[in-house]
Parts: sequence; structure tokens; C-alpha cells
Amino acid sequence: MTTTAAARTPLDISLPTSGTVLTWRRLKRDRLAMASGLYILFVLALCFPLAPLFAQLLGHGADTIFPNAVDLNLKPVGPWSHVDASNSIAAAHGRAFFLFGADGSLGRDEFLRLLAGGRASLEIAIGATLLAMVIGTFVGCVAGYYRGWTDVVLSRVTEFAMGFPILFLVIALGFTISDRLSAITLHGLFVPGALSLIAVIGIFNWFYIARIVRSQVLTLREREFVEAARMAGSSDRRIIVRHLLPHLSGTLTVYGSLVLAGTIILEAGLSFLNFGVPLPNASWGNMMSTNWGTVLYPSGKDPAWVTSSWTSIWPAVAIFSAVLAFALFAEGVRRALDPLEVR
Amino acid sequence: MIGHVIRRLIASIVLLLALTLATFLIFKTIPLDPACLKVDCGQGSTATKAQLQAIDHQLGVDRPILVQYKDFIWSLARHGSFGSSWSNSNINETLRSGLAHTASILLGGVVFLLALAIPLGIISALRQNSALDRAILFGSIFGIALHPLIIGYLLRQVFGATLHVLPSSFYCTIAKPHIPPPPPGVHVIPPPPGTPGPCYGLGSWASHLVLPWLTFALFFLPLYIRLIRARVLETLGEPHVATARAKGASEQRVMLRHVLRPALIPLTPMVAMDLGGALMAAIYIEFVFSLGGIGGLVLGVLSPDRAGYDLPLVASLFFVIAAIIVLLNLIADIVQTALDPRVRLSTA
Repeated sequence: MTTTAAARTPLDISLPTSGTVLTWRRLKRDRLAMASGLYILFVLALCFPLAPLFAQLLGHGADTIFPNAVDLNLKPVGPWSHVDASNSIAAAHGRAFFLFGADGSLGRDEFLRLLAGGRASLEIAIGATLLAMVIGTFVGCVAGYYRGWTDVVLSRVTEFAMGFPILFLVIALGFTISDRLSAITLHGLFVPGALSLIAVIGIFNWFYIARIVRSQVLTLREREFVEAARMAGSSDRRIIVRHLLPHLSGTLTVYGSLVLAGTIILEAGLSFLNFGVPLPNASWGNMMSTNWGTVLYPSGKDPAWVTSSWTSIWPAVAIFSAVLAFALFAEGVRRALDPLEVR
Repeated sequence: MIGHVIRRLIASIVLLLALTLATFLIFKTIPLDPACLKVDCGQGSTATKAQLQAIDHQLGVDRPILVQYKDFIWSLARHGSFGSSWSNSNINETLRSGLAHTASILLGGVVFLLALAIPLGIISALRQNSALDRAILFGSIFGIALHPLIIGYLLRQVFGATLHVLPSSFYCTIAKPHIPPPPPGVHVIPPPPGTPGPCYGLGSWASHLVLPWLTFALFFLPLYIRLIRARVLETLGEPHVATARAKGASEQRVMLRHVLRPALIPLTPMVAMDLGGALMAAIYIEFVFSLGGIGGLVLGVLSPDRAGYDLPLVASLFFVIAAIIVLLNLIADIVQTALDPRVRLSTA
């Protein structure tokens, strides 16, 4: 701010110096954050538009059963193997290629199931996070802006809900509403069961965001620009939507990705325990439970459990890497938003 | 202070009542007949409709849901008893054994967690931006992404199944388990010689829980390391630390009295508050290591395919869990005020 008024040319004014642009510049320099962002895009591309393409290329679907992909002991074939598909009903080619091996005693393609499972898991995680963010932002804004009894109730409920194991409520409520919602897929837009999971997880996951939004709004509402807007006659709604929400966008990006990472973990746990995406639909969680604890091949002293339990390892790696990418991305955005932060 | 506690207690009781009421109302919507818990019903069953209705009457589920709710609360307030579940077990006993398992996991896990997190967090803060600090921070980001199921699975496979260092499943009680004598006239086949009896004792209790504790600690470790590091760094920069140094206090005294004390005190309420949410991790841990605690109870009771759905048991479980969380929150508040003179309880 040392430039004098005389030195300020129109060129200076046209320079992009808004907060968003500055944040984006700092984010671009953060290689780890950019890499994780790219990885997220890569996974999304693999699971959504590219998955049917791979199914077309390989000539079979994620649910196609290959009796020849398992041996006499029902042990599935390993990664990178070719299997005789002549006795499989739905396979197009005579030989099927298994990039990641077969998934278990049914002999389905692990790679395609990983993509289908990723679609289910990410769909649920993104949907539930968006729902939680909408509810959380709304409640947080109302509580922070109007204070009063909304604020008191919100604080109490949030304090309790953040301590309560949401998993229990999700299981309990999911049990009752899943019958009604799991059949709705909106013309194949959602995986069966996804909609009820989105609803249940979203309903119980907004407290964290509401709390953060509330604390931000509490300080923002005292700022001069809000005062100015009020003086100019803006309605409360206009102040919240036009003046407060833009200030929250950065925070929401950070905590949105963190909540998303947490939701992937929650969904994986639910599906793993068979309370999530109903079988036979794949999800990363229920795929991880296939051959869990190597029941099929009790390992004993055999250190070869790594080779025999890769059906659990692929989805575990998928969950881990996706969650890590979202967490790193959130960390990067947080750092970019706050350049003065002590590292 | 006392007024605050009383206000909080009243709010908590209202919350507990609301939660149990919600449990009852939600359960009302489940299209399942409780009589099916007692007898085989559905396709191919020989039970008549009248028989099912008689069982419903015996269980008391043919009454309005609010009457059932009132009875549940009344029995709890009057006798301190949750009554018996639909599948005819004593809920108090079921809960007691489940709570013992889960509490063992959580409390031991917290000890492991603090024993690992405090030194690592402090080292990381004191050697800020060193290679060690970067390594700890980097590792903690990786740790955030690890699902407790994955941590537990890896630990179990490596230490239990491959190295055979530690037992990888089942829970051992500390006290000798009480096995009721068989009723007269029933002949119990003695186990063949050489089969191990039920395990008990402090040693086997601890050794069976080392891996679960480690799983718990590793799951929460990243969060706590970062938290402790940030708090220590923040405190180090405060003027009272500079004052203490200027007065010539030894570095050891500065660290212990002026940095660590204010930096670590807020951990106590945090741990207390996190314990409730940690029940979620405990479900996974119980599952991986077949420990059978509260989490296992909830899963069994709510699972549709295990046909275990049982309203009195679910309501009691939720009541107990919620009561524990409310209590922990309250303890967190009180402990914080007692330890930290800067905190004043708000009147709201």
C-alpha cells in the first residue's frame, strides 16, 4: 500500500488481486495440493465416464460371473490374468482379461467392481457432503446471524451430536427408511441404496459445518461492510446471501473436502458392516469385506497373506488414496487461504 | 458454577428423553412383527395369527407406542432397570458386560494415544520445521486417511497371524468368569483334555487388548499430534514465556511450568468429549478383533438379516450411550474450569 494515488494507473486496477485469485495463485504453487486435486479428478473420471468404456473394452460387466476365474478351492485368480470365459453367460469374448484379478468365490472382475464401487462410494460421499453443507450452512448462518434461541439450541444439539456416534443413528434410521428409498435410482443416476445413504448421512453430518459457519458468521456480522449494507437498507436475507456467503466460500471448500473425506470413511465402514450399499452392488466398503481376514485361506504361519488377501487390499488402497487426496487438498486450500499461518 | 451444572443437567435430561422418544417413534415405523423374534414366522411357518398376537400381547407391543415409552421411562426412573428385552434377556446384564468390553478398549486406547501423541507432538513443535517435524506431520496426514478397519486389519495380520506375537482376537475378562452350574438332571460333556479353558486374568486381558488399543491410538494419533503441536507452538510465542525466560528461569522450568501446562490442559476436556465419538471407532475395532462390546450389540440388534431388532434393547443402548456422552461433556466442562483459571463458564 505504498503506492501513491498518482502512481496508480488504470493498469494497476485491472490487475487481478481479488482474494480468490490470490488464493488460487498460492494453491497453484502448492504441488502436493495440486497433485491431490488432479488425483481426485482422475478417480472421478475413472469411476464415472470411463467405467462403462472399460466394461465395453473388456467385454464384460462388473456383475458378470466367471466360474473359471476361481480354482477348485474357490480361490480367485490373481492380478493380470487371462481366463477362459466360454462358460460365462454374459461375457462377449472367449477370453476375459482380469487386470486386478477376480473378486472372490464368484469370480467377478475386481477392476470393474472397483470402478463401480468407486462410483457408489463417491456418489454417496459427494451427495451426503453437499446435503450436509447445505443444511449446515443454512443453520450456521441463521444461528450466527440472528443469535437468540436458534443459537442456543444449535450449540447444545451440535455439542451432543458431535460426541454421539453417528454410525449408530445412521444404522438405525437407514434400517427404517432404506426400504422406501433404496429402490429409487432416478433412472440409473444413483446406485441402488445410494439415495437413502445420502439422506441419512447428510442429515447427521451437518453439525460440524454448522458450527464452523456459525463461528465465522458471528465475527463477520460485526464487520463494517455488513453495517454498510444494513445502512443502505439491505434485507437480512440479502446481507446473508450476497455479503456473508461469499466470505464463507473458502472455509466451506476446506471443511467440505474434510467432511467428504470423513464421509468416504463412514460409508466404507457402513458398507463393510453390510448396512450400506446393498449387495450385490459394489462399493469400496463392501468389497473390502470380501475375503476379510482371509477366511477362505487361513494363513496360519504363511506370510503369503499379502498375496492371498489382495481382494481386500485393492479397495483398501482405493479408500486410503481417495481420503488422502481429499485431506491433502483441504490442507492445501487452507494454507492458500491463510498465508500468514504458522507452519 | 453450580447453577451452570444444574442448567446443563436439566438440558441433558430433556435431550435424553427426546432421544429415547425418537428411538421409539422411529421403531414404530419398522414393518416387522416383534413376535417373529420369539417364534418362527413368515413363509412356511406354522404359527397362527392368533398365536402371534398372543405373543405381541405378552411382550406388550400391542399397546400404543407412547404408553410403551412411558413404561420404559417409568421402570428406569423407578427401579433403575431397563427391564427385559423382547428376546427375553436381562438388558441390565447385557449392557454391563458390553460396557465393560467397550470401556476397556476406549480407556486403554486413550492411554496409548496420549503416551504416543504427547511426546511426538511436543518434539514436533520444539524442532519446528526440522526433518523430524516434517516427517511427523507428513506421517500424520497419511494417518488421517487410514480407515480404522484397515489399521486393525494390518495390525492383526502382521502381529497376530504372521508374527504370532500377540493374540489377535477375543476378549478375556479380568475376573474369573462365572459359569453357572448345569441344572440338575443335565449332563454336561466335559471338554476333552488339552482344550484351553476360558481365559481370564489381568495378563491375558491386557495382551488380548494390546492390538485393539494400538488400533485406537493410531486412528486418533494424527489429529492429536497436530493439535498438541499447534498448541505448544502457540504457547511458545506468548509473552509470558518470554517473561519467564527474561527472569532467568531454567529452560526446563519454562517448558514444564509455562509452556506444557497451559498447552496440554485443554487436552483433558478434548479427550473427554472425543470419547463419545470414539465409540464409532470402537465398533470397527470390536469387529476386527471379535471383542463383542457395545458396538457389537448395536450391530446385532439393528441388523435386519440377523433378525435381532429389539426395541427395548435399542432404546436402552441409545439411552446409555447418550447418557455417557452427556456426562462426559459435563465432566469436560467442570474439569476445564477447575484446571484452567482463564476459562469462565458462560451463563448462557
